[in-house]
Amino acid sequence: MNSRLPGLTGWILKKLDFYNKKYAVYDDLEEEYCGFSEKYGVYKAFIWIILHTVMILGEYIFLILYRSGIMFKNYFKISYRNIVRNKGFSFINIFGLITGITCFIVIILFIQYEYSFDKFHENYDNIYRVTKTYSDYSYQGKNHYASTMPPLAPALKEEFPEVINAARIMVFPVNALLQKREFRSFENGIYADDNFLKVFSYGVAHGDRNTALTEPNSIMLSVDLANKIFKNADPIGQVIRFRDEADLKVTGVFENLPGNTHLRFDFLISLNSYPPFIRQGDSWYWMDHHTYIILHSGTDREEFSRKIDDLFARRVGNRSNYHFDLQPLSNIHFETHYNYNIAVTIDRRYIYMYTVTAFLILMISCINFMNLSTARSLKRTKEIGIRKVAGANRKQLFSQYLSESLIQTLIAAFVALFLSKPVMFFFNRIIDRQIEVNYFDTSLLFLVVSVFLCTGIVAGLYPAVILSSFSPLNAIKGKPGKCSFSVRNGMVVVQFGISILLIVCTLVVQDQLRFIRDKDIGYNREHVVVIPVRDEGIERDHKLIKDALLTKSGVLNVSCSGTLPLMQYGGYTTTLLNDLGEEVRFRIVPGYGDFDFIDLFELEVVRGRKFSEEYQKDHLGSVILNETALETLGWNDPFSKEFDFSFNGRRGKARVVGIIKDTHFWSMHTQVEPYILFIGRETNYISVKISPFNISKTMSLIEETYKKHSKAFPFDYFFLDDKFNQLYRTEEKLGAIFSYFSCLAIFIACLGLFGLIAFTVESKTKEIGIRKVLGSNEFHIVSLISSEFFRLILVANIIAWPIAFFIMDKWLEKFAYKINISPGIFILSTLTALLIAFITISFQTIKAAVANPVESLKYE
Amino acid sequence: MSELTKNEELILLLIWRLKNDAYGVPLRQKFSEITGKMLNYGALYNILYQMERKGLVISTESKPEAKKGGRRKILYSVTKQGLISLKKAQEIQKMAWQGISDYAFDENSNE
Repeated sequence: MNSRLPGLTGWILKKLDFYNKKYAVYDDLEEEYCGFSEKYGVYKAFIWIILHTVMILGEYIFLILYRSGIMFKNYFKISYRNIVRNKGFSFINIFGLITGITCFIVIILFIQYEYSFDKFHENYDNIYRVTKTYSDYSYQGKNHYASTMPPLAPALKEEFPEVINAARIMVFPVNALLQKREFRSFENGIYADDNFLKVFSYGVAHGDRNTALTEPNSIMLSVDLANKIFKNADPIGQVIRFRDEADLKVTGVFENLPGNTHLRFDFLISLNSYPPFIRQGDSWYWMDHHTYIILHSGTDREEFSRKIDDLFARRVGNRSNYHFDLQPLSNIHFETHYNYNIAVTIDRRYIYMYTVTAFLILMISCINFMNLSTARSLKRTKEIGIRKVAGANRKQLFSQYLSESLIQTLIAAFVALFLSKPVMFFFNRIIDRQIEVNYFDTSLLFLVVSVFLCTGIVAGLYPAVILSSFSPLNAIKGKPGKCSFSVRNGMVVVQFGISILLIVCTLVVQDQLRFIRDKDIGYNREHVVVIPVRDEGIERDHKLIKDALLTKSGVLNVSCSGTLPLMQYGGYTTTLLNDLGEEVRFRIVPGYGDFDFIDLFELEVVRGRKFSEEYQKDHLGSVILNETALETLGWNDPFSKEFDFSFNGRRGKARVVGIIKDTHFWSMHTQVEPYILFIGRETNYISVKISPFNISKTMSLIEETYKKHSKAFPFDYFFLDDKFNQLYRTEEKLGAIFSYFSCLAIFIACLGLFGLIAFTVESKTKEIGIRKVLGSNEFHIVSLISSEFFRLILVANIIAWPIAFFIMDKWLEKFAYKINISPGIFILSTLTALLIAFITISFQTIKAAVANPVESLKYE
Repeated sequence: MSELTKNEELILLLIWRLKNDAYGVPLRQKFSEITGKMLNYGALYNILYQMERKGLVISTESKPEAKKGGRRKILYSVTKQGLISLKKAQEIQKMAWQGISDYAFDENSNE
């Protein structure tokens, strides 16, 4: 019969099933509807039926909820009993999940944090940093620069209507000294022009954000810094002595910066207080500023950067080796290929690596759960059989086991949520962030709930399908219907595959780090104290200081130089003639030392001689090249050459007096570049080589000498090897995180293995008993049980190796100097996995092997 | 045995009154007529199910009827237990209302 109810209502009502009286509601309504429409007309009847359908639907939904509530109560009871009955396995099961979910939450929170960088700025999507590419000058092997010229910002704002606002900042190379009565400290700050706070939405606590940085000699402090200097007094209008050069008036206080912004500063000084800026703020050749602009939304980035090129050509002249580009604010945190980049950055690839690791760990713990649940099904076959006989259909069993796993996941997710805070505390220390875990944050709760649902369903689905599919007859006999063993083996393979992958990655990263650290970099970095020269007094008196220092006990050598290894200028592109008279265009890095420079840093002179005061000419134009420079030029007799040079504002005639061995002045990420060493006129650093004994006494002697010549500046220094170690901070973080995660992965995998072997042993108790009666020995029994697992682990290895090799090969590409991934690493990781697996299962297998067969066979 | 709710009592009474024609449509319509309240089928079948579970009514399927398009009606009838419940409800009703005149709550009443 065709439905006489209109459209959707008939369809809906037919679907509803109130207490197994399937069509009752439908029939009754149909009858009444027909009568109604005859009486009042179709239109009214239509409204009537809609109204009724909605009401019935409401009733039905309520009914469903009520019913499932009752059902869930029962499931909960059964699950609870099961969990309590198998305390050990439940613990392993839930513990594995807790570990996995905690890791996952922590990493996802970290990634979320990384992506939240600078999002709080009002015009986030339209703020850009103007960057440039300078193809003739490279620094640390990179020729993209984050810094631009001071007149760029006003020019852009003036010429282009697309620009809403443009701001400039200028960064101090080192922390600057602030003084206020007894307060004396080096603090981190920047110069910023009056548009800075209009472009960025950093909060201002006191003062006017529009005018606070307008006047020269104004300073704004962060809330923390203001409290540190002025305690409880009102800072506005107070005067602070800056760098012992100028007195600055406090015009405002800004809120402490959040951790997720790419700029780091504790105070802001108006840009027009900076003396060089006052002198040459309109110079197009000065590149120490960072330019930020807000564009109208919808402006084309490519097109606008071409416009900047044009502007530059008009104002300065055509320069084909210069290109400007716009870097969106959202990219600043993730792009590491800029020089003079003041931003806090992280390579996007590392973010991906961490994300993948997070998912892998979660996957291992899910597999763990699936494996243990199906293994446990061996024990529960009778229960399933009885349930089926008593009339439970497959759907009901399915939902029962699914909800059982959901309950366990819920417990795990709940515990993981609470653990995430203390774990984040440690994680923060490794990765150098201050990520706060707020339990009541909606996005965190949403994350936990979605992780709970996903893991619960993924981990519960397979066991639920397997368990509910048993045929009742076999189930009661104690035989599971389908043999799920191959799937389970597959899961063990995946688990160990992931663990081995992580172990290999960890080993490669550690190996590469060791390689970098131990590689002969060509200069001495041990026991070298470097004092940066900031004060004119020190610069003027550097010869006196040097002589004074040399008389102190513990001081072995002193060098006053313009550059240092790790503290270099960039490379200039230059053109020289080779032996054949051809022009060679290449990039060369200039260094500025003194007569003791080569001795102090133990640079090895391979040909010719080092600088010496005996030669008058050395003051004028003697230079020393490195091997790469010589090779690039292809000179046979370098000492006969005299050539013109022009770098860094210095020009003149140069004569090569010596060749030094190649040294790694930068990190191992870059190739050794041609290098030229001059006798320097300026002194930026005083390096002191000290004896390794009694360092503290030597340091106090150095401080004493320093204080005699510098009144204003506190003694400030660093050890060269500390600076060196900072080069590889990112890689070290990666190494640390990988080692923790691979430990966790193998730990979770072993938890699963432990549970699995226990079940295998249990199901083979009788077999073992019979074997022993028939004369097999303990060793045979142990190898019988464990050989299968070892075979699985070996298979896992073979799958994991190529993947690990591929990933790590990609990672190593970042380094100019790298290890070859040796087979030793793979063998080591395999042995590690096997050993750990053996320890995990040996306890159970040996127990099974030495058990008295009488025990296991006496019941039959 | 638990007490009947007001709605249950009314439906049970209606089933008894309708005798051989106690199924969804007349039950719902009579109920609305008496109380002036709208009762949807969802709620009606819920009440019927509860009473069936308590053993107050039983449901039977009628012969296919032309009026219903050849389908069966689900007919309800009151069981013995149902009758006891009705009886009890009636007694409670009587006891509670004993000695109160029909006009006691009229507005122009003097009491």
